[in-house]
Amino acid sequence: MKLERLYNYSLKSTLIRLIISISLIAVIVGLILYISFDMYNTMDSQKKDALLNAKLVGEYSAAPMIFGYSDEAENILEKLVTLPAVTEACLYTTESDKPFATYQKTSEEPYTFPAVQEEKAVYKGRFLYIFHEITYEETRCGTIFMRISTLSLLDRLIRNIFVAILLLIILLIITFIVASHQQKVISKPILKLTALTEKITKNQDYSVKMEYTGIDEISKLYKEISLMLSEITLHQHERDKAEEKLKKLNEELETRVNERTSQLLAINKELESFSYSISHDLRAPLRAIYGFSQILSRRHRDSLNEEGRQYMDYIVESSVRMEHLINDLLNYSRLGRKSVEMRPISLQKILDNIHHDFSQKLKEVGGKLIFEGYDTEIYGDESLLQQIFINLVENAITYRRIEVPLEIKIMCVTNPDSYLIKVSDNGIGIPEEFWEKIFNIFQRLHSDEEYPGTGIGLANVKKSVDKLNGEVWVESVVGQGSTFFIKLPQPKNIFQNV
Amino acid sequence: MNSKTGVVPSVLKKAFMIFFFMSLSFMLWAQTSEYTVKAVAFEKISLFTQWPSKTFENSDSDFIIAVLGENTFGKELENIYADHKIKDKKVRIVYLNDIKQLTNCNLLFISKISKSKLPKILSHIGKKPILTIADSEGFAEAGCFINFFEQEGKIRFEINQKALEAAGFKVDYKLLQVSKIVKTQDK
Repeated sequence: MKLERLYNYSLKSTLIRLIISISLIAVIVGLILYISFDMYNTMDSQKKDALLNAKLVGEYSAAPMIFGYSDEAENILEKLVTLPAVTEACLYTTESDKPFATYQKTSEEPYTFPAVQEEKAVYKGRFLYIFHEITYEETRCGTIFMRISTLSLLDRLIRNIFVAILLLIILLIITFIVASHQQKVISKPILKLTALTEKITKNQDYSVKMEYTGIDEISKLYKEISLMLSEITLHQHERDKAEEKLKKLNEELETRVNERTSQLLAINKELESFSYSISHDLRAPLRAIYGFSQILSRRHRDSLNEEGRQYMDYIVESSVRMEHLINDLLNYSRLGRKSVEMRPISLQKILDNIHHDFSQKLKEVGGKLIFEGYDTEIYGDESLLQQIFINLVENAITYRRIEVPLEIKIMCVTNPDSYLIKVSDNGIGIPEEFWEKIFNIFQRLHSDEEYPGTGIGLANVKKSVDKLNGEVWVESVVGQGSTFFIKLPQPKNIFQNV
Repeated sequence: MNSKTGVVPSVLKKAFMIFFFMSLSFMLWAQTSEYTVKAVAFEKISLFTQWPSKTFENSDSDFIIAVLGENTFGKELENIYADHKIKDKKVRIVYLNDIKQLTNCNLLFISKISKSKLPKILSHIGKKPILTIADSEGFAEAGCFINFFEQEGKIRFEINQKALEAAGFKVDYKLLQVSKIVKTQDK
């Protein structure tokens, strides 16, 4: 907290405050020490003075005391009037502990003199009490007592404190002036540095020259920063160069990619037209094989032996399969060649067609088709969408479980940026490791005897979805069923994606 | 004296006798008290006085107080100085009737002697280091060093400072401070 507060002050004022507080502390400590020392000295010298006076008075009083002349003794004590601090004094002879001669500066309040005590000088309350034994030529004559006011000490203390405060104020002013001037030695280069760095940050120009000679550490700081700046400039330069290189490389890469893409596209097209023409051209001889083998099998069945009849059935069966395969292949290659017509379509219309197309087949296998949320209008190509649903429903019928009645559910959900179409069934399911592979062409999980198929259906779906700029994936539990997800973008997203 | 007249006077006589003895004893007490003070003063005065050099060279010797004339002290001096020393010496007291008896002493107390006899006494002493003390009026002026007198009921003393110092004595100013200083008067 304290540090944070410190940060809020400027360097200048912090330095000034620092210098002033240090000098003030030093001066205050010095003054306190001086005043204490002075008070101690003054007290000591007051004691010594008082003792000296007691000795003097004692010396003068020796004879009167020895001879017992109290009048003379009092006359001598009267001389204490020249010492205004002495308020009371008295003499004791050796014979009695009662005063023998007394002195009082003012008779306003009568003072009860104490009984004689041994040699001492003590401060008690506002007074200094002195008992001093008077001797002459090693003969004890008696004791002198003096009570001395310490008001002068108090006066001195007050005067000292007053002078100290005055001195402090003067010093404060002088320190402030000197500090304001001297702080520049430190603050100037730092403020200059701040201004320079601000300028650098603002202009993003790191080639500023930084020079300073003076305080070791600050000049080192300048040197380090200018070193850092040159380093930054160097790095910046290198970075710029690298960026330039990268940009060039990127451009090259793009053109290369474009070239490759167009090459690939050309090859792909060639390949497609090749496969189309092959399948198309294969169809005519296949039809001949199929037609004649059927005629042969029908009309001349009896002229064939058992083995011949079996072979004939194989030929017919194979030619039917071949027909299917070629049809699917044709479909698949047609998809590649076909131009896509994107427009809003009623999903209901497509699904009604599907329902109509499959009603006979569903009746045969005892299955049903359920639609949910199909009154949606989606955006896409009608024939492609038709292809998708046909293939998915066909798939569901092919891979149904015999023991349960087939149930195909088609659902459509409209999300803010996409349509999500779910086609789920209660079929045999797909193990997870095949969830991606099944969309590849000719990828089959089962033999033709188990489940008949060409391995082109889901490839067709994938290709159609790709053409609609969508995504397709599957989730499935083996023995419970599969759900195919088709995510199609909303019109605005199509443009964004493009 | 007949017996008849003798009864009353005998009572008076008794009363008178009592009165007489009482006043006598009082006078004696008063006198003793005065002389006690004086006797003690010898020591006190000696304290502030320095005898001429070589006076006390023989460390074994006593401090001798001689009383010339009537002994007004009774046994007081012996009482006081039995256990008091002067100048760190044992005190011996001698009583003289005539100055010619004087052989050796440090302090001579001249008691109740006619003033006319003084010059003879002083000349007998001559240059001997003897501190002369008297208690008769005018004796100090006559050349005696110290003389007691009474003032406001107190026993004070006067000092013939010049004579004292001329004889080689040194006297502390403190003693002068409490005494009356007189000069020798030639007459």
